[in-house]
Amino acid sequence: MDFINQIEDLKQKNKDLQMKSVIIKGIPYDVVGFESLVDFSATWEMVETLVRHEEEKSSEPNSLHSKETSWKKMEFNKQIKTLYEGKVIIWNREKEMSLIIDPVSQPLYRSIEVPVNETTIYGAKDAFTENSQQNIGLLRSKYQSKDVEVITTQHGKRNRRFSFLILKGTTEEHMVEMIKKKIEDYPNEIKQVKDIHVAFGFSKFSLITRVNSTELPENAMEYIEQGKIVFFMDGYPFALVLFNTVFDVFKQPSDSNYLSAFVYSLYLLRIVGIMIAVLLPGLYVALITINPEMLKVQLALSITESRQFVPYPAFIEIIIMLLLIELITEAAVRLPLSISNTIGVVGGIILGQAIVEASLVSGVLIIIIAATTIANGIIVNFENGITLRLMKYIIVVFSAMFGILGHVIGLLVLCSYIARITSFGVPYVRWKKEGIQSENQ
Amino acid sequence: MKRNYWIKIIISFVLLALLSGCWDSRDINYRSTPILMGVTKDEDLYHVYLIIPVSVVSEQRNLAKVDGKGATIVDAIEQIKKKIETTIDLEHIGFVVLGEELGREGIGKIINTFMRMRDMPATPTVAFTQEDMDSYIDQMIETFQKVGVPIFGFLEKQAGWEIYNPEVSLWQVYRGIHSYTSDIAIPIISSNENLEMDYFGASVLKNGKIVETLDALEVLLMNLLNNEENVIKTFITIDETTDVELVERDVEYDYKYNGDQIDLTIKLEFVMIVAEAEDHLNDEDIQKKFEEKVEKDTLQLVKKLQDKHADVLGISNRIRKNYTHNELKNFLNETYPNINVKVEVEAVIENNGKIRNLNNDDFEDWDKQKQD
Repeated sequence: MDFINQIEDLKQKNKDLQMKSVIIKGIPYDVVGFESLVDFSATWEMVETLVRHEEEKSSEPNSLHSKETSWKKMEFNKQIKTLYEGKVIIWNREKEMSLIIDPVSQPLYRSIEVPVNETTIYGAKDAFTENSQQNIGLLRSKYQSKDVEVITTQHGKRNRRFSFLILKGTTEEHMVEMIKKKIEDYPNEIKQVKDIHVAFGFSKFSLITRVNSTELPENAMEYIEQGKIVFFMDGYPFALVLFNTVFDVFKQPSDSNYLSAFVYSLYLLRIVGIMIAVLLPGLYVALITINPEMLKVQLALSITESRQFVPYPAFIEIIIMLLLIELITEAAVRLPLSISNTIGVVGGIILGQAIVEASLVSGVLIIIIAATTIANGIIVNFENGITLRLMKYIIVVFSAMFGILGHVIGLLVLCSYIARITSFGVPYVRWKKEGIQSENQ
Repeated sequence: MKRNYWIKIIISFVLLALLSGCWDSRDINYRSTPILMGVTKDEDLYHVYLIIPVSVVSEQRNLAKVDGKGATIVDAIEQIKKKIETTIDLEHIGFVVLGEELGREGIGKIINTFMRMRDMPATPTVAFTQEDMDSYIDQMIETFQKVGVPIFGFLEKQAGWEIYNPEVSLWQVYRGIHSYTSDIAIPIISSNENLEMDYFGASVLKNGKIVETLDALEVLLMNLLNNEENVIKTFITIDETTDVELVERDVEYDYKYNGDQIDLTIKLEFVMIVAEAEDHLNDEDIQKKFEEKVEKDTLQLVKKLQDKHADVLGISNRIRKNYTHNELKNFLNETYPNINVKVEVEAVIENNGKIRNLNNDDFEDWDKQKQD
């Protein structure tokens, strides 16, 4: 079966496949491509000049032509594969040879925009997009040197592309090779970041993300320079950073655009915020239920007053309230922006007010919950924020059982859990600022 | 393997929950937290009063009086527990008032009981009252309703009593009773029509019994000698017309051994500000008057205490290290009364009040310097 017939056959199954014929200098050519991927009207001119040019050039020595943009005979299946990647085949009917070119593609990717999830006040305002080529370009424009190298691999039926960035001299290359191999060897389809976790052999139920996502090229570049491994998954508009460390919870590279004194106080503020987010609800339960003697008497009386008609123990009370806040947070994420504001008002203000007036929870608890929720927002990465959101419940449960003692035990349990986490031999809690190279063999 | 691991985790969590006994704990709103305990004796029975803050939403905070009688203090507290529905949590007691007649009989046993009780802290302030306990407590509550906050003032260390008050904690009383070389003075307080608390001075305890009473000035001197931190805003009246404010003070104890005799020189140094004075007095007069007065009063206080074999000034404590355990047993009765005490006072007037005082020679000095 010749080429034309095969294409016709394919056209029956894919209605968006286009084949257009054109005669240039008396030779008939067929231009084949997916209408959904290729902007034909813009490509047309390009095809014409290219073909004319090629004709003239064909008399010249062969060495000048690059391998990819020259007329040659190819297997049909290979040609078809390039079609799916968004290329266009120009078929010479007489010579039965084809030329594969990169056409003007349909605008399927959004342009570079302002970051949505990680907003910065002072710092670069560009963000990664779904197109990993564009993302690599963003990074290259930030580090204009021959030291930056890119390795790619493709995986699975989806033919998903993973691109790894290597900074010569800083990135451990055998580490990158190993990670690349892990992805290549993974038998199932890699759909989400969770699958990457599984492919790397990390526990699915880990409380801490080993693979961090960042939206900011500035941050990604900084991470590469720290020796972390940054890679892109096509279609995922974040850079994936391997070796998330405990310092990333309260430090981010764009902080350094401020005054140093302010930056250090900012770190301090974030550490305090982390403390509040994790410890405060537990402390409330411990102090109210089991160890009220640790409160100052005036404070104890105020709390007694506000808890006067609350019918259930502090543990139930705080679980109800935390649940409510989680619901509000999740609802605000799901809903369109214009409606999610309403959720904030209804959930936060009206419900908070009404629930206290109905004596279902105490007023002091509302303050605690508000402080916790606000403090949770100060944490640098959203994924790290999720970690702390979960940890808080562990502390609450321990506090409800053993009071202040349990509070400390819960903290200890969490600390030991964090301390034992490693990814590829690199501990999560690392004091060393510079990188991963020396610690990992 | 994997299943085994989960079973272990589940079992440990179940055990954790069962062992915690968390269902036995009561929330803060089901507990009463008394802030003051009054103890008297009523015909062989201990009579214990508790003041419990009662808080009702949207109303002013109020105080409630509960009392109970029993053969022992714990029994009396148990009687109170029967009367009210909530758990009584003695952890917040900040103030223990004892009837003075108990002090005459000896409070050693009571203090021991308090120290033994696990839910009673060792930190509440201890005081005696000479009034009838029932009316005293009523008066306190009444004043509180009239004025508002005062009773909580005693729980605030910063807002505490001034230097006239020998504020002592329960553990200090316990120490004072059982130490070989030191005793303790407990303040005497009373309710008053206008002031919610008024102090008459302090009772000196020896082995848990009151042996002597100190008046307000003596208490002040005692505090000055005992290195109480805060002397700021302390006014000392020298005579009817003169008053000085202390800014700084320094005390030094100088012991000298002459064979069996111990000579002690207490050197007191003061920096002060003239607060009120007649015009005809100049700085030196005031200074001299002050020095004489403090020296006389201090000596008198020391003699008075030495006569009663009670040491609240820490005189014996400072040389305790030179004696064996056996010698210390009778130290207060044998050695302490025979210590020869001398007092030297040195006062400096830092500021005479920033008013123009014609009697002062400030200007003359200045003129002289100019002429030279």
